[in-house]
Amino acid sequence: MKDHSITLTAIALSALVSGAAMAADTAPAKEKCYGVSLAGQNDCAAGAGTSCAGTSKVDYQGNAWKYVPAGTCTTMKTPSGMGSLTPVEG
Amino acid sequence: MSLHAFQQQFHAALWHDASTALSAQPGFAVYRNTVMKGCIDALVANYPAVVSLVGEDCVRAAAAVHVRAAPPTQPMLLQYGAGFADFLAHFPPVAAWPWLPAVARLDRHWTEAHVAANAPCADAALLATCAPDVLGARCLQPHPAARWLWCGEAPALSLWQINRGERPLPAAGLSSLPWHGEGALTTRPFDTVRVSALPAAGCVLLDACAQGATLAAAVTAALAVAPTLDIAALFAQLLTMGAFAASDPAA
Repeated sequence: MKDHSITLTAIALSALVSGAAMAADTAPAKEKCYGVSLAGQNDCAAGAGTSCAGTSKVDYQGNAWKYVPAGTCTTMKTPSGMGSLTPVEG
Repeated sequence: MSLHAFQQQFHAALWHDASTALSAQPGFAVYRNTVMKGCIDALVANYPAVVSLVGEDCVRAAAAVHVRAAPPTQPMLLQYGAGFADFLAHFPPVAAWPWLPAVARLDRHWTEAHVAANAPCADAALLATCAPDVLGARCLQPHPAARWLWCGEAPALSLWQINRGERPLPAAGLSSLPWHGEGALTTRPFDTVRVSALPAAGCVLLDACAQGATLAAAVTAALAVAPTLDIAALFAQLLTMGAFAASDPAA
């Protein structure tokens, strides 16, 4: 009986590791990207005039960010310039 | 009279005592009604699936009773109504809908997840590098935004999703839903509230983790209620949905 439960636990723990690996494979990595969000569609923001999600006032506001797939932020082209991993002045 | 004493009297006249000099003023009812309406409006706004299921008139009537018994304790009415689901469970006029409190709890879970503290989620890639016995000895805490419940009597999650407009109403109506128990996990990965189906064993696992159990103990508890549980799939779902907070690996 004891051996049985030890085996069960070992299998269960291996399954935990597999589960973590599955989640790591499926989880879309995201990064905070500044300056690419349309007005009111930012995920969150800092600075004067904006406090949090959905509050950016203009398209491509430099201090408002949006979650985007990791690695794509700085290649995003907007009418105001490229996306940025740090807040954009002005 | 000091300002504080006046405020105390005003509060008493609003909520309790109808015989003070203040409440004897003919216009005072305006204040009472305005405060009451504000609280009822807040409950209607905070429990949209309940309103959709039983109608706004029913919810306003129930809310009027509840507000008297449990007035707001904080200025932010976004967070008002923590006890409304429990109240509905003991409110005879809605006893015909025994699943209503579970749906109300899911509305509440959404609000709590929405306003919960920020915290990084557990990193699945990092956990996947652990040896099985090391991972089993770890204690993962649920993320501050994570909420879960199991409703054994009714498809509470389906009812909630349909009445929050997240799923279409079946053509044959709500009564055509497969009538079995459902569980729900509410989380906020990437700052967006997400609600997904969770088996009863998943709720058991999260309960154990919340109480500080090791993952091995939590999995054992989950297997006790569902011996054929797919642990890998469940753990992957919990991590993908952001159900666990990141923790110090040394802890």
